[in-house]
Amino acid sequence: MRITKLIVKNFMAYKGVHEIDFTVPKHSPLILFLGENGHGKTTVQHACKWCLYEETKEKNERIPAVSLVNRKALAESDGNQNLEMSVEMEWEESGDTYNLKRTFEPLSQGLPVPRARLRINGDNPVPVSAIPAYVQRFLAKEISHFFFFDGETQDEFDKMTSNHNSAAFIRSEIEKSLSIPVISDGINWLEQKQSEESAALIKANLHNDKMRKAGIALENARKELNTIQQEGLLQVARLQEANTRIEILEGQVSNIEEAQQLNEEISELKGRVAILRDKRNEKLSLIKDHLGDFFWVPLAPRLHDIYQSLSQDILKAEKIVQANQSIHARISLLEQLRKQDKCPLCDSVYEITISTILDEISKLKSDLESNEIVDVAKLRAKLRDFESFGFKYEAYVTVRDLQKDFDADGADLAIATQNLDDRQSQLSLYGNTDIQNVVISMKALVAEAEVANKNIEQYKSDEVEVRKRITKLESDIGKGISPQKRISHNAFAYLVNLFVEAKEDYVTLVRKQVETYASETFLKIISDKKYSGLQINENFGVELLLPDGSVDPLRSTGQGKVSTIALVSGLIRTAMDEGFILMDTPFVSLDLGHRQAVCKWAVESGFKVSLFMHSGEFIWERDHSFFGDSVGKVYRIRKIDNDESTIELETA
Amino acid sequence: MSEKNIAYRHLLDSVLSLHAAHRKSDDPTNENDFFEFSDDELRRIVDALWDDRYSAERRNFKNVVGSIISEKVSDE
Repeated sequence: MRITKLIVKNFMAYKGVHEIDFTVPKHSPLILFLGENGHGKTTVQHACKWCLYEETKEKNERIPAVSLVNRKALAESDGNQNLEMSVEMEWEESGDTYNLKRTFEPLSQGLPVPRARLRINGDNPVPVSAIPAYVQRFLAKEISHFFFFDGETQDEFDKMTSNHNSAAFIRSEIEKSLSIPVISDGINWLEQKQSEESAALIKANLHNDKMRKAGIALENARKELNTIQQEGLLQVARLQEANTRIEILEGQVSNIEEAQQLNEEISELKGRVAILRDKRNEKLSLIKDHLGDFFWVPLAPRLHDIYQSLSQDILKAEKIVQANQSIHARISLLEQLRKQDKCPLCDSVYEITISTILDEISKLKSDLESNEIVDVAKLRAKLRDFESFGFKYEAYVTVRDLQKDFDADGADLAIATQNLDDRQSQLSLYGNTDIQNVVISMKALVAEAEVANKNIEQYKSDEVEVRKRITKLESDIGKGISPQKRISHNAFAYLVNLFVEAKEDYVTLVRKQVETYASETFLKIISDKKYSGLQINENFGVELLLPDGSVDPLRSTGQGKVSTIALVSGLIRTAMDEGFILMDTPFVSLDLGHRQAVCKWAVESGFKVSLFMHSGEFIWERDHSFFGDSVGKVYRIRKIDNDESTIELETA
Repeated sequence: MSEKNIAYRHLLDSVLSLHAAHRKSDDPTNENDFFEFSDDELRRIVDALWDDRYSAERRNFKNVVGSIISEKVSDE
């Protein structure tokens, strides 16, 4: 079964006629619908559902047909009674083409009601009363939500499967998709027929003492079977009740675990706060000691600067003194030169003029005058005074480091105190949950659940025994009667037994089958390699299996989403001839890696998959490579204004 | 019925294999402890049951079972 065409007219966001062709080449089975939120992606799913079932829902509320009519078309119709909203869907199944058109005229006279018309292979329309049966064969309403997959509400589904009460609902839905109710109904009918046959035989043979006794025994056995079944149901209810209460207590226990965790953190933080306080006090005491010994420490940076400056001044002054001494020596030499014509050192004849010597002397004197005259001795005396009161820069460095540590500890202390306050406020929110009471209640409930489970097993075994007895009695009743009556009677008896046993086998087999397929899909998509697969429990809840066979109790939203996609995939592969899935915003809460994996799965799944995505989850330029060459068509959905959108084929 | 449907195959296999096991353990001296259906008849019954999946009345199953048993009664 696969959808081939959808034509919408004045339906929700789509004013006028818009056609979507779902046919794609076999090697490119994917169709992408790209559009922003609120532009009309989900409308396509609404259109499919309304066309098939004459109803579609939003937030679990049925949308009235009149609210589905495009507002702009309605406003522009100017009261025209012929204004029409319609959805036409075409699908193929077992070589036949079905065309279903549902129409609604909101302004027609009287009470407007939707009309439907179904043609098979273009022939005359089938009777209107037969349409629901054909639609059910194509896609049963009860299981349609697996095919119209909504990523936005899928998280709710995941939560439902892990909750005992809602899991019963999910179980019922899944059992429908696996056709288990039809087998149960068949068995009920067979049992009813068998009972009628027996009653008729007994009635007709009341004169036969042996048969009369067998009849009474049979009647008693049936009553016993009925009691056992009723008791079994009570035990199932008791088990469910116990499980529900265990679940509530598990929530409380989890709170207690959190509270205990907080308590441990609080103790640790209290210890840390105490240690930090001690450390600070110790440092404070050391700082005080240093300050007692070296009163100048608070002024140390300034004193240090002065000391450094003084030392430098002395060095500088000494250099100037040396320079002046050198100038004086040179002037003295030049003065001697001025008085004789030979060099006083080497006796060589002096050839320069007297004026040159005078100029040089004048220049040197000028240099001498420009040099600052500093009293080095005074400076040295100052330095000695400075050193005499015991100034040591190292002492200052020690105090400075102590202060730094003291401040750092102060910051740590502030953080630890803040964390402590936070944890204490969090702890106060948990109130006074009494862990002992919870544990006692939990133990009692687990024991109760175990008893209920044992009883269920016992009743199942009793049921088998009583059924055997009934078979035997039925067989006894069948003896000695006409062959025709015996055939009819025994045939029903045999079919009842056969189908009761077959149903048990079948349920086990299909659950394992769904589990196998779902695990395959899950392992293909999931990036966390710590899992060995999925486990489908008795309620068809999905659990994540670890390699040691245990169930991982914690799972992220992304993992939950992937496991649900895997479950849907497993159900479709197990219970459907051919699959199509319309996935609306499938990538909500999935990271890029998982998106890529879902795309890969969609390509390889063998289903006709249509993905409705917005730019927040899929960017064509960035992500189209995930699909390889498997995209058969891309439709772009755009909003013109609040009341009108368009859907256009972008790539084929 | 499409053989591609695995769930259907599981149901049919369950019915036929149980039937085969019953036949094997049948006591030939007791003509009332086992009722003989052919595999083909059981396949027809399973097909009818499967066809009833999404119909409220489950008519196919009732009709086919009724018809097969009637045939057996009239053949006797």
